[in-house]
Amino acid sequence: MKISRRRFLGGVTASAATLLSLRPAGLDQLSPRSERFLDCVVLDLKQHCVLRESLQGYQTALAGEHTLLEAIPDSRCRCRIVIAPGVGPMEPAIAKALSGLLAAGTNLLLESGAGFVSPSEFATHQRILHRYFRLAVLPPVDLWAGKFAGDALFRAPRRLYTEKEPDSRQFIPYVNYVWPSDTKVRDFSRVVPVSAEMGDVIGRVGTLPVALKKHTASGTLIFLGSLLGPALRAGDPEARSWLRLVATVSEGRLDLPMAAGQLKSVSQF
Amino acid sequence: MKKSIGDNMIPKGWTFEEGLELVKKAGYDGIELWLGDVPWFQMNTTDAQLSELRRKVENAGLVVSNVSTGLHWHTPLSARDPRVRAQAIHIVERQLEAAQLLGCDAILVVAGLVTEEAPYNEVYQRTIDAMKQLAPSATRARVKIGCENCNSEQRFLLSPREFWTFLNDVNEPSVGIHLDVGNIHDTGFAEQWIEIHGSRITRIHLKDVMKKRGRCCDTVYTSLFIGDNNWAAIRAALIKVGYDGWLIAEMEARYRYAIDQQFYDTAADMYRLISGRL
Repeated sequence: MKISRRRFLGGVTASAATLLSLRPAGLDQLSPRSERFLDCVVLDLKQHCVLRESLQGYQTALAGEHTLLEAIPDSRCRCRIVIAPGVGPMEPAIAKALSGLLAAGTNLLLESGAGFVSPSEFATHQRILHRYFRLAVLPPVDLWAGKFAGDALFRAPRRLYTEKEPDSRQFIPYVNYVWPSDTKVRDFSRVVPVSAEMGDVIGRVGTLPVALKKHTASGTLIFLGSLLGPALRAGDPEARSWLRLVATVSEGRLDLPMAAGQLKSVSQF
Repeated sequence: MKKSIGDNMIPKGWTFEEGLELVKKAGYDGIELWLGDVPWFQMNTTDAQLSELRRKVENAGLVVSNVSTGLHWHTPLSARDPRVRAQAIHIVERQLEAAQLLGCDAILVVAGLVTEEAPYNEVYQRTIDAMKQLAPSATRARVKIGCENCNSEQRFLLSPREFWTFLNDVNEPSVGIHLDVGNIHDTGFAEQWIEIHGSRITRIHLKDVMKKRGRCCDTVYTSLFIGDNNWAAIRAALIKVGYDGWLIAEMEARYRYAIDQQFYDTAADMYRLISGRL
């Protein structure tokens, strides 16, 4: 079995760091004693993760190539990428810790599960995303409610079918990712749209932006408004390839395209 | 084998007691109670009211064969929304409690629902999760969970081997199959399902099916012996695997006239099946 130097060192370091730093659930900071390096971290935010199957999806897809933490690492603990699956109810402490990681140069994949929280929890989620990450998200959209399936979401594609009566059933709402590769992943019923003005849109459902990449001074934030974890858990090969690519590309700076032709501009989409 | 029929067959407007009297007179040994389908057995029916139902059943000279529900068609255990799933789990837990109170040892669950929105692979995983979550409660209650094969309607676990793999993946002795011999349509043969699942069969629903009919707006289900099921083979398979439990009539095609007559006719058909006079 081939194993790269990076993966070997990353794995060894991560294992050591895990042994040293794992704490019980909560937002306790990891040991501030010294600087540590973790390669790929998946966070189990417990009650703040609204969909456990999404967390399981990331764990399954990343197999042994990640460290599962129940505490958000201290910003002194260097991580290449941190994945926060199914984030539902949010608290300032969580957002602060995550934005601290970003500021310290960590790449953060924040998957919103806010399509499955109460309206008041969503309002908090929305407010905190704006305050700590300068992200503007809109209330969740139920992709399978007839109104959206045949209406606003698919305004553009519908023009292609001018000969036909609109039929929502011909539009399967895949999330079309355009970065780091063109990938179609099945939707998970409800999406949290994100304002395209806040970064580079990397995924849409129909015309609706639901995934975004945003560079900060040091790290890169990848926001997913559509849950990817369930597809990962269900073994969707495209979803798994997409995640693997994100995990790989984030080895370098996420704001750089991987290779010519792999990054499609938003206007092309 | 013993004969039972669902309380959701009791004609609308009849009381539970009137229904029980008919069921007994028609020759059944027991009655299947449907949570959520009949006015006397709802999610808000109290434990005391359930005990009263049991008393009425026993006073009529019957027993409760099993507790079923159709509530999971609208509240699936495999729903994407975790809140819906929590409610679905709650329904099964109530079925388990009710089964204990009613003195029976099996419940029927529609265990997963594949839709355009909720794809098969997701449904498979979530249904396994649900069964694993419920199994300890079932074991404690000494009640078996029978996942029904509603093949066409669920678009899930469509072949007997697929169902077998699913039960292996669940890997809980308290979870088995509630086999409906009418639900297999033209994708297989009931007798082969019986052979494959054998001791994992918790209960059997009986109805006949007209396999060659399109579903369209008409039901393909019909009264025993006038559809395409091979009843002699079904009986032989039941004997081969040693099934000696409840046979429960589930007549989806109802008589439009002389409604009570269907109870008698079905009981007579079941008697012929059990006694081998086919």
